[in-house]
Amino acid sequence: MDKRYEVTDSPLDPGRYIAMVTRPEAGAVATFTGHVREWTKGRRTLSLAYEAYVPMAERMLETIAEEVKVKWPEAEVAVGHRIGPLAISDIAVVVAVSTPHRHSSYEANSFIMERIKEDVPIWKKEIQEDGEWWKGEEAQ
Amino acid sequence: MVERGGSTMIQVLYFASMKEASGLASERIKWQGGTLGEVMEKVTDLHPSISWDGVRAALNEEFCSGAQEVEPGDTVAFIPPVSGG
Repeated sequence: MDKRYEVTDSPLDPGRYIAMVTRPEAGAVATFTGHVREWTKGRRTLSLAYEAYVPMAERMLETIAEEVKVKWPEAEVAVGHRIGPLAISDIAVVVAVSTPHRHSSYEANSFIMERIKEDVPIWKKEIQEDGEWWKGEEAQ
Repeated sequence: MVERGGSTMIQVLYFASMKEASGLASERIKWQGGTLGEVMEKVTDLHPSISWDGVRAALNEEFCSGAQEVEPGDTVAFIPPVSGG
């Protein structure tokens, strides 16, 4: 059985998460994939490394899916987040949301990404040309 | 609270910048009971170079406040500002 809320060091296949939320009642599946970006404000990223508190991160993803169910009762959610070393353009996160109609799938998907960035214990280390640091702690 | 398995230790987990500052991913600390705030004081004594800026804590995988009681057998994780996604 596939895990609906998953933190993994394996490459992410968006199709797996789409398949987990696809069902006859759902006319819409909104899928977000977050990728490793090379250029941020003129600084070049060489690669990224993600770390997570895996059991808590997976529980938090499930909690966020429960919040989605309160706001959008007809939504079904699957989320995968990758950890470990990633290269430019690799997929770091997949969020798939199915709903009967499209508007709520977009809204719920965006809500999930915001909540991930607030509360899910996952950390990104940027390896750039001039050094490496944990995101959120770099000198701006 | 029931003391789990007669343990007299807590497990403390460090991540990201805190792991680098402490030089450890985890350690066991002798614990008779007290608040999370007291755990943080103990950790500061053990690792003076740790920065607590923006750090939250989780007790047994749930976010919690400094007033929370920590029992022997518990797991405390320190959560620096997260940056997933």
